[in-house]
Amino acid sequence: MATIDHKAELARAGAGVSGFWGTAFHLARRYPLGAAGAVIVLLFVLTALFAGYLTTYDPTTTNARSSLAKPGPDHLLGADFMGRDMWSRIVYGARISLAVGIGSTVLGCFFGVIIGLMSGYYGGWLDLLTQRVMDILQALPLLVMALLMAASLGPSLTNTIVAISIPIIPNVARVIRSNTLALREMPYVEAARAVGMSEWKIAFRHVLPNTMAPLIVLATAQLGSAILTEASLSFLGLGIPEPHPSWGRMLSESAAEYVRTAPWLVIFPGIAISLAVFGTNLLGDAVRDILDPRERS
Amino acid sequence: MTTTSAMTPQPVPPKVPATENLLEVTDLRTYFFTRQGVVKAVDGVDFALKPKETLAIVGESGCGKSITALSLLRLIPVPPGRIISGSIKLDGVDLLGLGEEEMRRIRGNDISMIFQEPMTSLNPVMTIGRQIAEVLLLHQGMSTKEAYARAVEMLRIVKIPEPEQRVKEYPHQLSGGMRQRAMIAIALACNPKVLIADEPTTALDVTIQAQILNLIVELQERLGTAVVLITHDLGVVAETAQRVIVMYAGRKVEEADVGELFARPMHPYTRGLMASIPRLDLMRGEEKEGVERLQEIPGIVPALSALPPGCAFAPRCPHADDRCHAEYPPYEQKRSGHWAACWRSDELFGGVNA
Amino acid sequence: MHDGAESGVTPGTANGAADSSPRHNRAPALEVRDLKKHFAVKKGLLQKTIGHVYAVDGVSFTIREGETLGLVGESGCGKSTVGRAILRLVEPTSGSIKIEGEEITGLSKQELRPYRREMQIIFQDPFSSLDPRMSAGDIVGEPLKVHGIGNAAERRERVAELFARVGLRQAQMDSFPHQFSGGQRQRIGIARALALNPKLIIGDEPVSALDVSIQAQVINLLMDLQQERGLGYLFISHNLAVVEHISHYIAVMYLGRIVEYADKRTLFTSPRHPYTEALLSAVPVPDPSIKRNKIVLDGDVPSPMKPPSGCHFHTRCPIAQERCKIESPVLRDVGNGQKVSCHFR
Repeated sequence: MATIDHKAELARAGAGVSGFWGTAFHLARRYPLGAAGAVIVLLFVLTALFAGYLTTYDPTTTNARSSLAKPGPDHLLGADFMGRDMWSRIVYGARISLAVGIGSTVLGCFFGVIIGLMSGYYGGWLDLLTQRVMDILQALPLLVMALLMAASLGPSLTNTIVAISIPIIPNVARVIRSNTLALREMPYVEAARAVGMSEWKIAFRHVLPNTMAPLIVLATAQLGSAILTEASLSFLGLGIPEPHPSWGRMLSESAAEYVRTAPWLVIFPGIAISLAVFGTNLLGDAVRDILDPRERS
Repeated sequence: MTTTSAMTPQPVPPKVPATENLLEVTDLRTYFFTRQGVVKAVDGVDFALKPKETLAIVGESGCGKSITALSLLRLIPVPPGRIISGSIKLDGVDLLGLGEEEMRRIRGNDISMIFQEPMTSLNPVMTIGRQIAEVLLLHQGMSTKEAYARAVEMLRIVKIPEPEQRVKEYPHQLSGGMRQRAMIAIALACNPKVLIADEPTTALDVTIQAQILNLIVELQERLGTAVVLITHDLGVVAETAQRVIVMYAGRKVEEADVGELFARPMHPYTRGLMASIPRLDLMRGEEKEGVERLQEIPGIVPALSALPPGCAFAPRCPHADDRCHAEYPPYEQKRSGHWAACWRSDELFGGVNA
Repeated sequence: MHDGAESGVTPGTANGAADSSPRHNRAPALEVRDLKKHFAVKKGLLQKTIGHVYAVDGVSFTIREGETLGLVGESGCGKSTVGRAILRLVEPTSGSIKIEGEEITGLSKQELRPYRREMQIIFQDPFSSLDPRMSAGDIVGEPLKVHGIGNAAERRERVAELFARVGLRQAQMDSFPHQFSGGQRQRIGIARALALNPKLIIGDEPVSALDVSIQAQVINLLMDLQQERGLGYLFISHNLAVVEHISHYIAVMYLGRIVEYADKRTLFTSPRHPYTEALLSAVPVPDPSIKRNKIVLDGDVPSPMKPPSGCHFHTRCPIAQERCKIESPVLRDVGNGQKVSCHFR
């Protein structure tokens, strides 16, 4: 029988870990991919926040002289056909992506939680009705809906956020509903009822806080897909309107015409999108592993 | 009396010629490596089991009785668990030295196990017959037809009515007691030498518990299986076992034949346990004045990752003195065939040192 | 219904096991008459009712202040439903429930609120009965908050008192449930139940999930509290030994009905109903020197959706005859306040 190194085994289990940094360090060692994702997401957020300090050009100012400039000392990542600096546009594009990603996730989760909680907690016809509405929402093709919204309301940042949040609602509502169904039978919920607490208070005080872990897992997972959806919508001209620098739109503007002659116009926004989505997905997977009840001791 | 400290190997209890013992466990240590530190779930447990014998391992949750059972089958989740030392000899073969493939041939064939919750240990999407047949196909190389015929026979042996019908049913179609019978049928299908029963009746109603215990005892006599019975219920122990091991905080604290143990418990923990169970005294014709308080064992079981120095029971023991708090007592024979780990049992309970 | 007037046959299970000692003049803490709870079993898309589970089928009893009624029976006999129906956690189908003489069935949620202060519940599972996201102090203080008793500081003080009373340290008020052991968590549950100073506590298997050594601590605590505060207990359990220890009166349930009722001494020394006899004999006795002739019942408890005709117990009863299949026996007084529902006993 192999001898067992107590110290090594304990280190792997995370004994003696304490404090925020200690825990963070332990988790980073245990989930290296998640840590990489967290670093990417952090960079992404910092880029969006400090866009002004990271760039020298305005992302929307055109300049005929530098049209289609190659990457070089003047323009780090080149410039597009209107002479706008690619680096600036990508850095500012992070703002748009983040705003849409977080905005639509928060909005979708907000309505999803309320609907899921009500439908799971009160049950009955309300549940039946909301479940069918959720089915319909999920059945609607996102692109058709976004097209409708863009056509009727005009493309704008807000409309994009709203459009992207709509398919998130049923996803969240479903998870919250099934959790609520289990939680409302818990003895501590009955105890609150036996004390005479009102039903809506029980729902918000005892049920909702206990659905937070699955909600966080779901929200991080949705973030990446929301960012990707924004890029797709903008690529199709249904998302963020000109002149805001959106990665998806940057791709679509250049993809067909310049992919051969000025490939940097396609490559860099492409990398930005992939990196952002990849990062959030890595982080989301790690968050799920950490918060999964089976992982908890 | 020797003053062995906690770390030195303790003397091995009742040794009978090896050939007589079906299962011999020596110095078994199963540790878990967790964020809270090393959890010594099983810390140096020895025992031997003779053919046809029923050995009960009693203790409260966290005493290591279930981990002992899982260790016998090498079913400890790794990580965080590890069997860090010891040997488990079945007919002289050390199971801890076997490869995973060979071990699989032992499980369900030479040693099988039944669990507390029959619903979660049966596969809900397979018929009962198929689940019995599967073990037979795996271990006995029977043909499918033979295996199913044997499955029906097994259900008849465990007294499930209409076995020809039941063999085609799914676990959810059976009641709790029937499911436990089906579990027993699966466990005994290959005629194992050892049956490990981990709280086999805890989830069942009393009238059903009586049926299942009767069944286990009866089948054991008929098939000659040795049984390791893991339980917290001293009543079940008294009625089914021949020998008893009492565990506390990962170690054996007492061991004796069942009559001897109940008549003359030598360890304060065992005594505390016996005193703290409410008994049906009225039925035995004993009448007490009014309603009497139960004797309680104060405090709680210590965390296995932070055991006190000395005797693990000392913080809760009414008789503990300085030595108990400082040094772990040796596990010694206090009377013939009666072993215990207590510094003060002789003076308190009058043991005769062997 | 008074003692004396009630001899011989009383019609129906409705006339329950109660009123066995007339020494109190005050209205009893709890009086239950002919309580029924039938659950509809629904199936399919349209939720059509395909049958009923007769979980509680006409149960009556009385609990006075300072007294414990042990309600025993096997899983599915309806004992938990009785407790939950009294607390109106499930809506009773019919019957009467009186708290200190006041009828509470039919009251709206709002009207029921003041009565909720009079009765509380302790659950079986110390792990799921406490909200994992709330501190122990908040859990115990919640009933006070819900009923608007005191300000934050007063409530904290009261919670501190309760903690001390159930044997927890006040420093533990800010800890979360997972930081406590099973027995300690059950103490938190008891403190929560005591917060409103109720007259009646319903214990739904309150010690079944605990280790024996801890179980004794909790039983003792419950008994001490009863003496101090004159609490009435409805103690629901499958463990006859525990019930024997804590109860003054005992009701044995089988498939939704009380089959035998008596004071503790009578029930354990001279049980009359064959089911009670079998239950008593099935309990393993922790003493290998006692060899008993066990009555081992055959078969399983039938489904409460399809209870057997006549006497519910006839399918497993060792003394059943033709009559038992047809005629349902009434719960009748056989003297000394003992009531039995059997044709032959």
